[in-house]
Parts: sequence; structure tokens; C-alpha cells
Amino acid sequence: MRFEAFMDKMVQSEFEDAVGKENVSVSFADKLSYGVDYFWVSRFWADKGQRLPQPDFIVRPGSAAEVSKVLKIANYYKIPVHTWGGGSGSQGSALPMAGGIILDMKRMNRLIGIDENTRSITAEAGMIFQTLEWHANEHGYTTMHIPSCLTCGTIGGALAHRGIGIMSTKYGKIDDQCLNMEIVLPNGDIINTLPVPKHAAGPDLNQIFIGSEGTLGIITKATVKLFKQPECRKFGSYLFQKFDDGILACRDIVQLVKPSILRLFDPAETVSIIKSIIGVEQVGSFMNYAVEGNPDIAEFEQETIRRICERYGGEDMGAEYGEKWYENRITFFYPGHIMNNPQMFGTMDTVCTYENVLPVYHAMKDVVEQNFPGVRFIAHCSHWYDWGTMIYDRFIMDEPPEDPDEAIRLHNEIWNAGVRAAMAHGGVINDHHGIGLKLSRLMKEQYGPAMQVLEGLKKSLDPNGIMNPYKLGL
Amino acid sequence: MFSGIAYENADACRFCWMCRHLCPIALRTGKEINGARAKGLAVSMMERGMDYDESVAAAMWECALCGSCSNNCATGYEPRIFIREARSQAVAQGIAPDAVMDLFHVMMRTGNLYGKSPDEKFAAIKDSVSSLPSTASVLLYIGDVAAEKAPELAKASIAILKEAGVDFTVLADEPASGAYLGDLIGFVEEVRARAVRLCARIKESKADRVVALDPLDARIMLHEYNEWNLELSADVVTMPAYLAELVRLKQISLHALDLPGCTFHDAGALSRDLHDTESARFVLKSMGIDIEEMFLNRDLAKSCGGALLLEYAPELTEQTAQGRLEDAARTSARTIITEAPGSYAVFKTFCPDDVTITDLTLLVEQALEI
Repeated sequence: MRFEAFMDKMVQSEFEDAVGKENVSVSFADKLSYGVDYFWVSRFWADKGQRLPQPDFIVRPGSAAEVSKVLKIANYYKIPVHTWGGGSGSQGSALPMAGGIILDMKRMNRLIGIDENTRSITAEAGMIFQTLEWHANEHGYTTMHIPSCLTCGTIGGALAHRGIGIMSTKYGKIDDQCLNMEIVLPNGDIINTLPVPKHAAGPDLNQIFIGSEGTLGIITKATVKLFKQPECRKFGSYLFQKFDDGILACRDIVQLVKPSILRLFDPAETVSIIKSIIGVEQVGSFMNYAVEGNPDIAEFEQETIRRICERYGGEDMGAEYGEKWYENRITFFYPGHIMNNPQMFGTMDTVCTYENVLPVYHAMKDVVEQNFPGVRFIAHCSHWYDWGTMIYDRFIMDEPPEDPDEAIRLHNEIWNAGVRAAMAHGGVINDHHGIGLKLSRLMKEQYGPAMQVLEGLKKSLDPNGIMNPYKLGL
Repeated sequence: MFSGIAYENADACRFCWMCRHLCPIALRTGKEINGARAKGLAVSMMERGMDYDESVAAAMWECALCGSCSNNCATGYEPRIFIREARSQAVAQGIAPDAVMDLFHVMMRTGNLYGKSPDEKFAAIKDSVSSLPSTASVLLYIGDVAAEKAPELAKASIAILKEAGVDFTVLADEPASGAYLGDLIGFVEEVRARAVRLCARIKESKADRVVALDPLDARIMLHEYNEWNLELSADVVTMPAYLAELVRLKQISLHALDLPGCTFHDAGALSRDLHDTESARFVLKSMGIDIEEMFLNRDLAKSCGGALLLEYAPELTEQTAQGRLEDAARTSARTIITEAPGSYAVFKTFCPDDVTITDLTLLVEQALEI
């Protein structure tokens, strides 16, 4: 749609009426600031000095009621709505690729309350997750949602992308941690999911909207679990000769005990990132862990881990490397420590059952390294489930093509090859970064005929298709 | 257009969001452009051919230069470098906001943040400074903010030094240090020229020690003067550090104050730039004052906006200060103790009626055993 003459001013004044004049912007500076997220293509585009994707309007609501008003206006004029929390996602989910509205949620950052009896905390979804964690900490609790984007992502962003933190093996993903949510539907209706996440009142509304990436509605408030700060946290680390042995050891560990941190690095990542950040010099597959909570239980867990690792030939590397990894857990993501332009890179975090871990890992590694000269492939597994694990596969190309068309084409070819190799061997397209623009085209391949369920929801809830177009395959 | 170091820092910050949770302005406004990342992106795009737009220029002044972002950076990048340079560029190109340009002209004309001439600067503390010698071993540097917005802090400081028997003076025509002009328009030649003038006056005072009441003045003397290879003939110490020294050396003796329900606001220039978080706490403890810490304290303390932002963007300062006042409100304290004239002035302006603002210097003066 194109607005003629002063029509854009007419629409802008409606938004201003809805959220206040000071919370609507069409300034160049504001538009510019939403043109890049962590998605490599958007970074590359900026690095080459290209014109960045821009919204037509930036609208910053202060309440669910204001979000509702904005969505009603947007639906009437059929203006695309891109919800923006922290903008730190790696999948291009928040980018305003269709122009229209950026709905920046960060004004909605109020703490609603802490329920110490239930052990839960409720806040508006635009709150930076670190702020939520600090509120919990002030009362002696923690959310135990500690992702690398803790300091930059919002509560809504974590929920909208099915986020995960480094403690997930013990405390779960955000979809395990969320009790309930308030959501504004595309038609402006404000709904609440049921008060508790476990029930037999039909399908779980939480799980329909968690991971929906702003395509089905806008999360405006959420309640998540609280945990008491652990009495103790004990660290350890092992080195396995083979990645395969480490996989088996970790599988056995999580059947018996629940470490909060459990990370196994393939040989390529062990000799690169692990060596440079925490100083492990040996060749092999490095593993570090933490157990925590009651000291007696933690001690038992540590002993169990020791016995299992010994069985698979793991060399005990002591607590120090585990502590060092924990101390540097965020350092990895600062400029100078993480991949950066001009490198081309991507994280193909896939997830699969134990039966498929090694086939998926080797298929992805082979297809990437053998078909794309100059591309390195490294991986680690850092989120373990009873039934399988996530594989955090990353590809890195130090000298990608300069030409934007060629570089983007190559980037997408590598992604297509890697993800298709994963899916062909039982892997699932993504574990915890989401789909966004980056993987949107592959959703139908992932779901097959099952995609019609998601498409049906989309058609029913967002008949005008205004909610975050081009994302999530919807 | 930008210096190599500004370009390098902007390019590092443009795709990094890691300090977002600490920016006191971005947290209050919720605006994406207010974070260091977006400002770095803007500078990096300008270096790649994008025009410097007035709205981008305006965004460069929506920053308190409090250093929360750089203090957090695991790699040591410093957004204030490119933000200051962006301010310099905007002023040079005539695209800075009107309020900034108005203040710029005032400061260029008078050298003073509040447009006061040397004769007017100390009007509120005339009696306290009139009898001081022209030379002394210690120079108390009052600064623009204390002189205009918090003269009671200046008076208290003078009273303390007198009680301690310190051979000290105050420059009757106290020139600006360049701290506030440097924050307003970046560290350009005009700022350096002011620094040179102050160095000359310090030398004439024969002081071997400067006690800076305002940590921003101390910061520029300790950091930038050194980088600029200026001949500063005296050591520089902040007021909290000096007070702590006077207590330790028993040059002043403090009695206990009955002051329950206090919390303490760390000044960013002290805690993050000068790495002194304990001097004030030591002095408070020596007066028997137990402070209830805000959850974010010491180098994590949120800025209240500061005295410069208050001059050209009072509404944004109020929003920013409210963020810190909310932190204080989550304690049981109803008295906030500051350690810098800027924080004192801002909180005094915006604090609710049921909150008392006081300053370390006022408390020490009160606790002096005379």
C-alpha cells in the first residue's frame, strides 16, 4: 500500500492519539536504529553502507490497551506491524522488512509483582530480561533464564523466539519457565492464557504464542517461575578424546542427575574458541559443567558425573576450567571475542534425539565443509534434554565475497545446505534462536503438511496478514 | 570525518547490544536510538557515506556520558569517544539542537555553564571565599555546578578545610576546567584552551594539590589533561577521597550523626571513571551512618542525568533521575546522600517531597567536632 499526499500524516496523528505524540516518531535517526539486528545479512548490509530496512512509523506503546489501539489502526489501514523488543535476535525477526510500523515495546517495562508464595514474577514484556533478573535477585530469587542476550533482550523477545539460557538443562527453556501471558491479538482484543501452564483444558495457549515471533499477536505481560538462589554451585570439566564419547557421557549424565550447565565442545571449537577464551590447550572434546542447589545433592551429582565421564574415557580437567568458562560466559559475545564482520557466520542450532545427534552433526559438518571452500564448521552441545540435545553448529567464513548479491546468495546456500542436512537426518530446524526472516523459507520443508495448522492459526488470527510479514514462514 | 579511534569504537559497538541494560536514558525512554549500539551504528553509517542528519545529531545529546556502557564492556570499547566526536561534528556543521547551541554560545562567551562572569560565579559564597589567601598549598576547585546550583556544598567544603587547618585557597576568578564544555561539544581545541588557562592559574596559586569538589572536574584534570600533556603543577584529588584522608590522618574528627534511613548515590565519574567507590562510604561510616545500598550501586549505579543534561534537556534529565529515584524508593531509606554537586542538584530538582537529599560534604560539616 502507498499513502498519497498527506495520508501518512493522517495515519501518524491516529497513532499519536493512541499512544501520545511523544511516543510516535518518523525521524530519520529513529528509523535508522531499527535497521539492523544480529542477523548476519542485515549486519553485512550495514557494513557495506547500503540503505537499511526502515519502518514508516515508530510507535512506542505504554500499555496493552495502547497496543490494542495501535493494532486496530494498523488493521484498518493494513499497515505491517513489526514488534521490536531488544532487537538482539539473530534471525532477522524484528527487522521492518515490509516498512510500516515498528512497535517498540521497551516502554512497557514495569514490574507487576513478585509472588513469593507461588515463586513467580510478573512483568511487562518490554522489560530487559536482566532487569527482571535483578528484580528477582533483590528478593533473593533468580529466574534462571540466563542467555547470552540476558542484558539486551526483552522478556517478550525471549518468549517470542523460544529462548533458552545457559542453565536450561536443570531449569528449562523459557517455554518451560513461563506460567502465563497477556497477549494482544491482531484485532486488538486483549487475552490472557490460563493462570497455570499445566491443565487439561484443551491445547496450551501459551505454547501457541510462545515462539510465534510477532506473527500471531503481541505478548504484553508474562509471569515466569522464580527459583531460590542455589546454596552452592560446583564446577567441573573433562576432556574426551572423541566428540562421540562426550555425547554418550552427557546423555547418561542427564538421565541420572540435572547439571545446570553442561557444555560439550567438538574438537574444532575446543582448539579455537575454548583455547582462546579459557586457555585449554589440549586436543579433543572439552566439556564443562556446573551442579548446584543443596550441597549434599550437588556433591552426589558431581560424583555421578565423575563416574560416568570416567566410563567414557573422560580426562578430569578439574574445577578451574569450569569456573573460568562461567566467569567468561558473557565475554564470548562481546566484540573482539565473537565472530564479526567482515567474516560471514551463522549459528545453525538444531535439536534432535540422541539417536540422531551424531548423524546430524556429521551430515551438517560434511555438507558445509565439503561444499563451501573456506568455510569452517564448529559446534557444541549446551542444552540437554532427557531425549536429546541441541547442536550449536556454527559456520565461519573469514573472507566472504565483497559483492552483496553474491555474499547473500552464498550465505543462504550454506544455510539451506546445513539445515536441510539436519532435517534429512532427524534434526529440527532450530532449537532456541527462532526462525525469523533467516529460516522462513525452510519452514514448509520442516513441517510438511503440518504447516497448515500454523497457517490456519495465522489466517484466523491475522486475516489481513499485517503481523510481521515474511517471518516464520507465515 | 571521524578519528580512527572513534571509527574503531563505533564499528565495534554498532552490532553489539550487551550494555543495553545499563543505559539510564535508554531504560527510561525505551528508545532504541538512545543506546550506545544505535549511536555507534549511526556513526558507522556516516563513515560509509550517510549524511549527518539533524535527528541523528539530536540523538547524540540524548546521552549523559555517564560511562555505564563502557564500564560494562568486556572488550573495553568506549562509546563516549564517538559520541563526543559526533557532538563536535554536529556543532561544526550547525546541526546541533537549538538548546545545545544556545548553551554552547553561553559557555563560549562566559566560560561558565550558567553564563556567569568570573565576578558573578561565587556570588552565593562570597563571604566564604573573600578572606582566603591568593596562594596556598591546597587549591579547592569549586566548579561551576557547586557555585551555581549547590553553593551550600561549596560553603561546607570551605568550612571543613578551615576546621581541618588546611592551608588552602579558592581561585577568585576560577576558570572552567573544560569538563562541561568537553562533554557538550567534545574535546576540541576550545576545551583544551580552557584547560591550559586553568593549569596556568593553578600554577600561580602555588598549590601542590587540587581538591576538586566536582568529580567531573577531577576527571578531566586526571585523564584528559594528562593525555594532552598539559603541565599540571599539582596533584588532583576528589573531595570524597580528600575527606577520607582528613579522617584517616585525624585532621578532622567527626562525631556520630543520628541519621537512620539513608541510601547513597554513587557518582559515575567517581565510581566508573576514577574507580573510587569506597572513600565516601568510609567517611559515612566514620560518622556512624549505616547506608542501605540500592541494588545497583558502586560502578553499576545508574546515572541521574547530571548537571549538563539538566541544562539543555531538563525533561530528559527528569526521566533519567526518576529511574534512580525509583531504585532508591525500593529501599526503606528516605534520605539519599550524594557525593557530587551534579547529582545533588539534579536530585534536589526532581525528588519527591518525602525524600531528603543531602551530600557528603554537608554531613561532614554537620559532624565536625568543633
